[in-house]
Amino acid sequence: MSVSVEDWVERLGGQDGPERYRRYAVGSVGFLALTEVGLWTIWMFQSDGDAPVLATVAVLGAVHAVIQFMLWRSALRHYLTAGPRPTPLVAAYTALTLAMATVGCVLLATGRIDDGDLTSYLVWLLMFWAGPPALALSPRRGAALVAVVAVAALAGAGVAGLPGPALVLAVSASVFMVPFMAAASRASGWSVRLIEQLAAARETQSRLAVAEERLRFGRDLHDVLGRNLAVVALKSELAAQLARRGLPEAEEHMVEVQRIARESQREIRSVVRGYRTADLHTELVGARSVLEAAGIDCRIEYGPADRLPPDVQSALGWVVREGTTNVLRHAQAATRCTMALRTAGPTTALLVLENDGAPDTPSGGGTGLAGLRERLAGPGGTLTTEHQPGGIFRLTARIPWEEDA
Amino acid sequence: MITVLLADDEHLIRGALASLLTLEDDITVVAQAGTGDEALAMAVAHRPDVAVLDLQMPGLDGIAVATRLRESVPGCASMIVTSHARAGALKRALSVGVRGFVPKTVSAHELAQIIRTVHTGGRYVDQELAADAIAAGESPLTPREAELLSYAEDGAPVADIAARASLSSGTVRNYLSSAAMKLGAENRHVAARMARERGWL
Repeated sequence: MSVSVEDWVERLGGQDGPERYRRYAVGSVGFLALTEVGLWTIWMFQSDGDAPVLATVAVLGAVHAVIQFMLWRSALRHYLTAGPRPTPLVAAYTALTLAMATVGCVLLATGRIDDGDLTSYLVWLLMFWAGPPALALSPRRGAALVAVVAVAALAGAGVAGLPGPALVLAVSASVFMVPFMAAASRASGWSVRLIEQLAAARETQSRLAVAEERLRFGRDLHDVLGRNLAVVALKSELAAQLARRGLPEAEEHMVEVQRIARESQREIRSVVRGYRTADLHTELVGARSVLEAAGIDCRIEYGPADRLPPDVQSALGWVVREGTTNVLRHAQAATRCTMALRTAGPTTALLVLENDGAPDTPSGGGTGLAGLRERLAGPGGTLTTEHQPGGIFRLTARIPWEEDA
Repeated sequence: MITVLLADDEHLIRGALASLLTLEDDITVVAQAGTGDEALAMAVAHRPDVAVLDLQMPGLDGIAVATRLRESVPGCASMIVTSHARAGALKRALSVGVRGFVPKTVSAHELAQIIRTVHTGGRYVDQELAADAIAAGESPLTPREAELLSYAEDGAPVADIAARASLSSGTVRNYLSSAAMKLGAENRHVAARMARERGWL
């Protein structure tokens, strides 16, 4: 379910999808109204009617198209958001359609147009007629109204003297086109509604995700803090009792309290931070942005960064972090730094960190580098450091790897 | 003797830290402050060698105080103490010349060492805080996107965010979806959480 909602929304173009889809729906309805105008124009070119006939049909057709468009819009609005049912517009549209059918029949009866003219006139009129009421009314009432008007119009044509073959043509075309338009109208409204429901479901889903995340966070925090605070309370109480009796064990317990408190702080931080995973590329970019913030110009050669297997990336990530911290701590006068990832032969990855401004006498950084050496030894790597004249310090990590074929 | 200003809005912590630092032979705490503005005033009045500033304080935050101290008390080295691992903070601090960046988990004894380092012109950045900042990479978000994402964090609807940022809903939606796309997140809530975890907000 969750996947399909996201999928659908994705297919509809992200955040704006549902709104856009609705606009398209209204737009395509406007296009239908234009099509009606176009068909009446074609009809006038083909018809044998004289000027007053053409003028009458032109005016009626234009008004019919306008009301059709207005009804489409308010029907769609009613269908989607339970706005008021556009009953007056439906009534006006029905009346106009019946009036146009009557006009057509009278024109045939009085011999102003021929059989073919009336056939196409009625089929087009009924086809456009059928769409909006199907959406504006309930399915049953909409179908009934559409059918009644269509039957009445076709019966009128029979009474007006439309001969058998032309009448059969008009009826059979209407039998296909009228239900088709009514069903298409209902279906397009329905699909817009489905899309909006999907969007609403997605919104609910992401709210749930936020709530769930808060819950997880709260639980983790409670797990970490609850236990440790209980120990801290108990141990400090014990220490206070011991101190009151002048017993030296008090100190021991307080040192323990201190250790537990710091431990909890560290654990809270890891809860807040979540699970940290970064690829080597990200780490290199991150290191550069930190160094540049400290005013150190930093250049990176990414080399095969993205091709290295995850364990090699992770080991070299340690080198990047440790090396960067070292530059910040020990190379006070540093102005430049390069981090170059290269390959040495087909099976060795090489990360070289070089910076200027290093102190002549190496100091302090020993423990960090020793830890790094141990970490690199795991995947069979080595670490070398070089001091060069002019305050240049170079850290080189080598680590074996095999490129996937 | 190194003179120190301590600024932290939690006075229990500040008091304890001050007592512990005073136990060191070569350090005197000459002033204490509970807000950023107070810290600035105290620093101007007492001209300490080192200002130890909490990152989050009412009024000016630690980095804002450090920024101003650089001009008003040039002889004073600033360092930031923080309980929040926000990657952006380290970069901001370094760029305004802060010389120490340490977590609150540091013991008073270690803090004294770091104060000495900073006082002699050295720089000290905590390993783990630096690692967090590095692993966060570089933020792909524009300042505007970051701002709007931070409003979206607590699940606020687009209309509320738009009102807060004085933008139209459509514009806000565009910014948020571009931010979500950059982060590869399926929606703005996930995007906000990812950005927060990486310290980009």
